[in-house]
Amino acid sequence: MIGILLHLAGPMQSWGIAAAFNDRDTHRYPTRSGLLGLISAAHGHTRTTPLNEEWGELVLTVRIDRPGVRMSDFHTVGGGRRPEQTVPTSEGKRRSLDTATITSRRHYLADAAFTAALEGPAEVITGIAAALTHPVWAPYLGRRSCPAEAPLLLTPTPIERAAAELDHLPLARTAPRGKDKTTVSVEFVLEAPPGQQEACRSEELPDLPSSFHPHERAHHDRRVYLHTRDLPAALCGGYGTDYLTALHTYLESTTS
Amino acid sequence: MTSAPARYLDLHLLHTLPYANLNRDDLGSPKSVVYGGKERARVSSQCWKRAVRLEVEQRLADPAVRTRRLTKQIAEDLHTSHQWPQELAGLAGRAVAASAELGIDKAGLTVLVYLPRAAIAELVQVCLGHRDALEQALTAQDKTSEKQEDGKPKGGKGNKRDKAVDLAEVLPRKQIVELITSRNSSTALFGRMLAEVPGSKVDGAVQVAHAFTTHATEIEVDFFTAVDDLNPADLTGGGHLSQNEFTTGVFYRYASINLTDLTTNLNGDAAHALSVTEAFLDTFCTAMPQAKKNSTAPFTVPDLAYLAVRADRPVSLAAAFEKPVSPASGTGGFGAPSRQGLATYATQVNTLLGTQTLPFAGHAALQQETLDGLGQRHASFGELIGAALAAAAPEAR
Repeated sequence: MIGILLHLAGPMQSWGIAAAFNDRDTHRYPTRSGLLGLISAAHGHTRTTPLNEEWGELVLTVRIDRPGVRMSDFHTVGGGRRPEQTVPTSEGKRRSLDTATITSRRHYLADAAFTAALEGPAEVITGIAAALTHPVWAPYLGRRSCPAEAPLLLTPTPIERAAAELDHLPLARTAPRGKDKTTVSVEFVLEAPPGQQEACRSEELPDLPSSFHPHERAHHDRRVYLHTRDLPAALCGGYGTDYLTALHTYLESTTS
Repeated sequence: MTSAPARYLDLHLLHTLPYANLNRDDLGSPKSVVYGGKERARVSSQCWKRAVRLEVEQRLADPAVRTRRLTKQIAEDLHTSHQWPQELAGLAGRAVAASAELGIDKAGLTVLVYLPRAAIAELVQVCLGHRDALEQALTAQDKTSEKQEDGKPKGGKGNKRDKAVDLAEVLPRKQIVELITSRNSSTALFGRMLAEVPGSKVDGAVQVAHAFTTHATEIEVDFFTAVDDLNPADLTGGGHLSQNEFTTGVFYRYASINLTDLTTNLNGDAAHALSVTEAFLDTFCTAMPQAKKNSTAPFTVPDLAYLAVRADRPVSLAAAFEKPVSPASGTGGFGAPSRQGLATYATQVNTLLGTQTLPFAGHAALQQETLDGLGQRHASFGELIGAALAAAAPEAR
């Protein structure tokens, strides 16, 4: 087992779970299907390419550096048209002029930042790292209008014990105010229960993809375990350039 | 500078907008986003992309149309420009839709299709070439309907009668489908999704991010009254009072073109891909959403354009403004610190990722300050774009 580390951050991201029709939701942290979709696109796989079976063996650990805030973006389609030009209703009738505009809401996580560890068999991880270094299609965080901050892939060369690095890698957030605040509480999302002493809760998400094919899209349930750990406040790398500098210093020290 | 092949072209703009409301939410407020813990003004990617698309189509004189009136347009062209009888022209329009399996509703409309305007003219030409077949179909229909509806007046709607003759077989189906699903610069750039016609889907080669301000903003509420011009002199007070919301700021705007995808979408024509790229980049700098243009006239040009050709992956520099920019000390204003912030951040990104995969980086700016970290300075947006394209595809130019 080797692994890679990913920095999933940007002004906006969206990880749909039960999105349907006019209300496109987002989960509060990256989904497995969203991340595997990003990796598939980086490989140049289309929606009809069968999912790589070996990806089932991958273990995903997500550290919530910054939970962000939920926001919704309001959209309109078809406003200002004559009734006969509007979208038909299910009875085949037309909407009245004042209800003819179709509106939709797309939900996003604004201001969120995550660090993910993806671990698995050496050849699979190496292949994913290569694809993310030279992606065929640009990686995005759930929607095409949400490009990922650089660097997305923190470890172009995969490393041992990637998930354990999450306890040491700079956090994409500012340090808490006050001199006595020496630790920060950070939430982790794991795919296996943490050690026995650690309190955790679990939830089930329908985000284990079995196919991305438009006509055969299917997901199975996945159980995740959420728990909160205290990390040293010194790990807080701040925003923007400050974070990149902290990251650079850290990566230099671990790879050399 | 290396000779690594260009795959992505990233355009970053800093654009100062005066008091405006280019993109509203359902309550009429300017759209916003929280970033780095602070509220920022936002213009959605869809909003600015539409403004760019309309202008790109105009520039390339290769417009695409979104329409549900395809059958009607074809019928009308045949009737008015080629003097076909109305009934035959109508049948031809329906035959085109039938060939592509586009259903027609009671009002004679199909689903919304998206195709080059030139393709409609070509569809008309196909109908002209198959007039005999269409006339035979019309005669066959009339006979069946006479038998079926003996004694009854003929209905104006063609749908029932169309079932008697297989309209989908009248015209060369393959050619029709090819025309309806054909691509032009616009569909190659922005993509197309049409569930009803398999094979029509085009994944767009352009990605546009939501634009947001580099600094914290607040929404300004503009209270206004409208005067009643015919009020008698002793009657005071307005005829109407209400409020509008506006915002101002320096926006970070980012778009990325996948050159490989664009070339593929244009059937491998590298030279065409370059000219389309040039039109897009140029237009992305100048096209503006038109909302409330008459009451705010927010027609500014970007303060800074930074262009990077990348061989590995696109790189957004949005995080340069995750920590909101503070006004410049002494002079105030967000423009200069935003430009410096972008330059500092780009330098740091290049340190972290290396520059082996960056065949070209350059900038053009309104102001004269030195911006280390954003490549060579160019005199104009056009010159910058030209230099980037020469680096991206030296053999094609």
